[in-house]
Amino acid sequence: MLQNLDPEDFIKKAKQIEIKKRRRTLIVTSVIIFLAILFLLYTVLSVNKSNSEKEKAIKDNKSLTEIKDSAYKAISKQDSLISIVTKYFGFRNEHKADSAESLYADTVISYFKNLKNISKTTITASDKQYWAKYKADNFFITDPIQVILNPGGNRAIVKGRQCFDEKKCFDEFVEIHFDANNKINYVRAFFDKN
Amino acid sequence: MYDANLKIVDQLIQLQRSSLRLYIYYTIGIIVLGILLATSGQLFFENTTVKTIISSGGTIITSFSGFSFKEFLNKKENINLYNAFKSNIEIYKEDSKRQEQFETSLQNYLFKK
Repeated sequence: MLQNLDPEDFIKKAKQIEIKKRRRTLIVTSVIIFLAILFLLYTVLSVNKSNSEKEKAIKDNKSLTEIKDSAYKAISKQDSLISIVTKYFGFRNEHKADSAESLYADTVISYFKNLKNISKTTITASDKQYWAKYKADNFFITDPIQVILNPGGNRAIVKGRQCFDEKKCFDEFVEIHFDANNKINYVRAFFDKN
Repeated sequence: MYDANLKIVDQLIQLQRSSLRLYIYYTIGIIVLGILLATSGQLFFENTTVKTIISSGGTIITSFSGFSFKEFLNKKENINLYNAFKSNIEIYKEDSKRQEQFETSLQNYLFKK
């Protein structure tokens, strides 16, 4: 049923309808744009978060690699010192004073009880004299060699049994110091009272 | 009757024109917002992924201007239609029966569609 509207009412009604249409279009479009911006913001924040997590993981991995590398270096250093000590006692047990000389530093701070600040040639001469006297002299390494890595100089503690002949044996600790070139510059033995 | 119809059609054309202006401003606003977003992505972010996301977002938001642009075209069509009504009203200025028919048609078009 159509109404017989006067022109003013007609225009008023038309205006109301138009305003309603405008409002609907603007609200729908604005809501869509607002949601799009929210989604965009969320995506950017997620990407930033995942990037910072990635960077942290890379950093952690890097420090882990550094720790692993330094551990490998320490293990390799320990292995090389253990090998020098094993070689050293091998030469000593075979009474090869000249071969043992190659493992000493030019000057040895202390060599067993009496020799202090002496050259390696003096040690060789002294060893030769000693082994001429004690032909059965031997040192059996009984425990795993302990290596102490120290910036001031690395050390090795060797626990074993020192035998001067078949009957006369003592338990002993031998402390060996190394210089920066891994040459032996200190050798001292201590009886193990335990 | 003729004067009343003419006044109604003139007012309707005015109304459509004001809506048209509003939609133009709104469309321009959305396009500017989209362009600003796309540009800010390129200027203010270093991360390539974020740059791409913001630029794409800006482009998508610009494309939403299509909603209001569609309405802009509708208003244009309405103005043409009302102008056609106006021409007819003027042609049949003396014919009161026709004038009544125009009013009925306008009412049908506006309130019953």
